[in-house]
Amino acid sequence: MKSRENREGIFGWLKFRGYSIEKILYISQRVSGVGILVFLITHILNVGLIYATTGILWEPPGLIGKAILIILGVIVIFHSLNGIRLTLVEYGFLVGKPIRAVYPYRMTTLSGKQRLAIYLVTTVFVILMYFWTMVAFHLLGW
Amino acid sequence: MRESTKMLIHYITGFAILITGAIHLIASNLKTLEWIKTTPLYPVSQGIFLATVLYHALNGLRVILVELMPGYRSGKIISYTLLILGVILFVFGSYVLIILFGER
Repeated sequence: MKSRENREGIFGWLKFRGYSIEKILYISQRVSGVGILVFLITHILNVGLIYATTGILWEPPGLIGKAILIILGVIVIFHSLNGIRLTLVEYGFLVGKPIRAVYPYRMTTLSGKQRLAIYLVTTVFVILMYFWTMVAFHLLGW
Repeated sequence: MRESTKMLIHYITGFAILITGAIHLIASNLKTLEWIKTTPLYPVSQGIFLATVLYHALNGLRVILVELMPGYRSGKIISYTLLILGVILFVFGSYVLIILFGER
């Protein structure tokens, strides 16, 4: 059991104090990914099984189905935008040059282009959400 | 397979999903662009979408689970369980695609 004592498990995801903004994006990426995964598996099984047995392409009915689609749109847009940023960061396109740790300390790798990419992702996400709200109202028939 | 190779495939499939997923959503939801469904390339695109999205989703779940339960043995168990689940879902999904588009 000794090796387990420092493991925080899933509750370590909820600690935000003292972390940078990347931690929020990282946890949102995971949570939205798991949400999409749940939708994906149920979508494949639902559509497939119902088409194989009855021959119609099934769509989730009523308010719950529409709410699922609207939430799915939000998390898919976020996941893809943040995913593009993560891919660029992973292969070093947005990472700044490191400097010597001399006082006054500056985070050159996290700031600059990488921080700009975060602002860009959030801005594009908010703009797309503005359009998505209209789509949601149209879907709900309001 | 090395972990970095798995993640490289993860990013490549991510970009493939951006394209094929957009085609899937546009063809299914926009009435004026429904003719995309009649082109012979659409089932191929759907097949690529199925394969890439299953790899991307299950590899993402594997990364989360391996991080929560580290260790060589548990990593192997998680990887092979998810691999089998993915193969089952892919076979089922391609079967549905074949009976959907097989008639033409």
